[in-house]
Amino acid sequence: MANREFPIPIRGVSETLPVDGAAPLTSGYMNNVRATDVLEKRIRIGQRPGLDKVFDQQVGGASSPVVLITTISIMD
Amino acid sequence: MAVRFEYYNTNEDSQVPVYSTTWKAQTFTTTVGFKITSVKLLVYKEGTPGNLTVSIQAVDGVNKPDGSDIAGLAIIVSPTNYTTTTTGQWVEYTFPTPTELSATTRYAIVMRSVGGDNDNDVNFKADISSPTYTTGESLTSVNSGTAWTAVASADVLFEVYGTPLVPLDKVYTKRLVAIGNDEVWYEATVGRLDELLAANGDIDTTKPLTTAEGFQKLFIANQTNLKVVDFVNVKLTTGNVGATPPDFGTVLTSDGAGSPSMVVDYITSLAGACIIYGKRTTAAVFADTETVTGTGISFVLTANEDLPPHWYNWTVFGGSATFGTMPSSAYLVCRYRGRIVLAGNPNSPHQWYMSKVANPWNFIYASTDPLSAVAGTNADAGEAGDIIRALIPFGDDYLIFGCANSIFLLDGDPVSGGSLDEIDNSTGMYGPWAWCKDGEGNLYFWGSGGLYKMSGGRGRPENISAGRLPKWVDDWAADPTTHRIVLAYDPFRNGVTISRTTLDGGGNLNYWYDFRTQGFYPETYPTACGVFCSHFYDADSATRRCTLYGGTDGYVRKFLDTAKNDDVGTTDRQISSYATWPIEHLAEDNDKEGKLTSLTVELAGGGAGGDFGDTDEVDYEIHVADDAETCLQKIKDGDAAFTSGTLSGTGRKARIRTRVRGAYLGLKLYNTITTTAWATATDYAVDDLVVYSNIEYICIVAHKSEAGGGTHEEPDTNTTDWTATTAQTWAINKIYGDVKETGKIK
Repeated sequence: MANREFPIPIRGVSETLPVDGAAPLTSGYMNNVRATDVLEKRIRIGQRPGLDKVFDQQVGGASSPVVLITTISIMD
Repeated sequence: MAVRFEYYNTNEDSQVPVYSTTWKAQTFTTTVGFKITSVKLLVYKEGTPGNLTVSIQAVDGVNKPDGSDIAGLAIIVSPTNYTTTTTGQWVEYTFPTPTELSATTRYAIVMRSVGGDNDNDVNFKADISSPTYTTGESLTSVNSGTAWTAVASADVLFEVYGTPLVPLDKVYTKRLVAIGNDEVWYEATVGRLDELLAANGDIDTTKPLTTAEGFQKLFIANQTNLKVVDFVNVKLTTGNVGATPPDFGTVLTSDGAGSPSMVVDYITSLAGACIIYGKRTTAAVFADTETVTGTGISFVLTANEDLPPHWYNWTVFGGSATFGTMPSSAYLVCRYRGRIVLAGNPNSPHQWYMSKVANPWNFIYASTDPLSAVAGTNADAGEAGDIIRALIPFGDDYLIFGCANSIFLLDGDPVSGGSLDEIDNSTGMYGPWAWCKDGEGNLYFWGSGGLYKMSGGRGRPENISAGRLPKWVDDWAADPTTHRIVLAYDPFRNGVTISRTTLDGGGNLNYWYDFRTQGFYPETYPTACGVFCSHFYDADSATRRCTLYGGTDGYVRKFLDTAKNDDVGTTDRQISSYATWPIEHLAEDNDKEGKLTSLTVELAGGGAGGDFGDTDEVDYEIHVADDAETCLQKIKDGDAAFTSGTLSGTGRKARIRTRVRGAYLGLKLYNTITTTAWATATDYAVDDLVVYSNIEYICIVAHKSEAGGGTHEEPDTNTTDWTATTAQTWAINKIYGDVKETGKIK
């Protein structure tokens, strides 16, 4: 009996090779996970960070897409 | 530590009383700016005076107290314990809020008391015989400060204390600008967006729109809407600009108080009624009816000056063909070598136009001046022969034209020795938002074959996705008429998000490309979070520095490591996350099965608590099949697992003892959301539960009671009813198991 390690698919999805023989450390099916976890920023697979609002204000005051964001620098 | 900045503290030979309506003041003039903390006065009392107020006021035009205590610089004290000895004692009056006083400016120390009379007063020692303080004087009022009389022959003894001004490195501010729903919003104060009302409805956000920052202004290209958001200039209005209108760079001065002056930037007309925008160079402001003059220039203002920000049409200077011709329509704009560059004119889609260096109002395409405006038709560099879809400047060194089927590189300045070279004639760029640069100057873009990288921004495009995701382009089937593709570089997470968002509704497919693993990770977001634009906000404060994403619902978001849910509307939406481990053949022999007798999972976090971040619970499924592809298919199809469970806590978990026999084993770890507890955020009663689902998520939604029945609302329109209280994230350290080879596959 062998004790086998199941390698963590830290290199993301790969659909190039046959499933039986896929590229090392890749997955055939994943969603909303990243190689770097949010807890310690180690490369070991974890859920992606959540999307968080930066401003309370809704651009346009309605549910309409924000089509552009940019920065401007102004002398005080 | 406070130090003494201004003082007159000798030769006291008399005193001035304060009581009831009899007030006193002593003015002083600062030599340098400082933050005042206190004043000291030499005082004594007579009888039982009322409470004493000591404050700092500015002075009016005749150097008398202006009647208003400067905020934070007034203190009320009881003189009960003051000495009655007529030589007085020095008393320090410390103000509530240390406040900056300007350099070389006169201020007044004002002393006043409530009640009292000539026998019940507070007396301030003074020099009334030969005062030598020359930059201030004593004043007295007998009507509670309504009128003041200067007493030139006296000075009240005083000492002013404060702290030196802290060196100020910051001389500019970065402001975020966000555009949506035909409106322009900007960060007027840190952390808050306000609308620029003048822009409302003056752009069309259903049409392509890009911007370029330059000269403290934002230049907007929105097809026929070519606009400017001006954050630097003041605005002057005149009914008649006169026979000689001001030119770009002209210095104008007014005959108003303080002789306000400005450097002209842009004017709307060369004759008649005109609006002049310019950078005011004085503290004095322009006012209505003043006469403004320059060399050969004279006109009268018809309104007070207007402070920025301003919104106006982007035309050539004075709106006159004298200063050249801009394209009538363009949706691509950038800044390159001090020029504002336009492209995307539907009548000349292969054409580019550049303003004169450092003058965005001059489009005179003259070839003799190396700084002159230039267009693709008359430049040494020539025009791109393909439809331009993206303008990508790399500093002042070179400019990439991303075209429909090719990529061009403009090296140097097109007027003086620059060259336009075709880098690739088989790869096109998808659009103006479908590219980003990393921290090392590499360019990533979505092109006809997937994701490409151009090393240093000028190497040949290298397809970096084809080796992992050969069907990506087909799967996404991106079409500019229905989809927007946005690339965003995240320097803090070392990767790029590639987003395909449906223009109508925000449905989305995304990948995260990680620089360290060079791997691709698919992601989906709630439709409200579908990415329409992105921008790395290099904010003044490091804590606010991040990559921003413009959402379908009008909100600006960022990825936050501590956020376990996606922030949607007024609620959070849980993230459905899962990963399938590489399908394992359980036997060495291709024709044999194997048996997994135990499986051990080490979850992230080590011991509970401690320094390492702890994972939340994670679920697992184990599938088996006779071949690898079937095994993966079972997982994708959501077939019943051979066995499943939930792992809670951190660190090494107890062995999973379920014996699993088969040729191939598939392991899926995931975060269940369908069984997550939901709880009310308000006092609504629960009538029913509704299972709501779409392509990104499945969740149980509880609805409030509705009198007489009513219809169910979808979560997006009923977000105030319920809030998800369970938020989870997870991470795995290691998985291993005992495997034994068994018989042949049946």
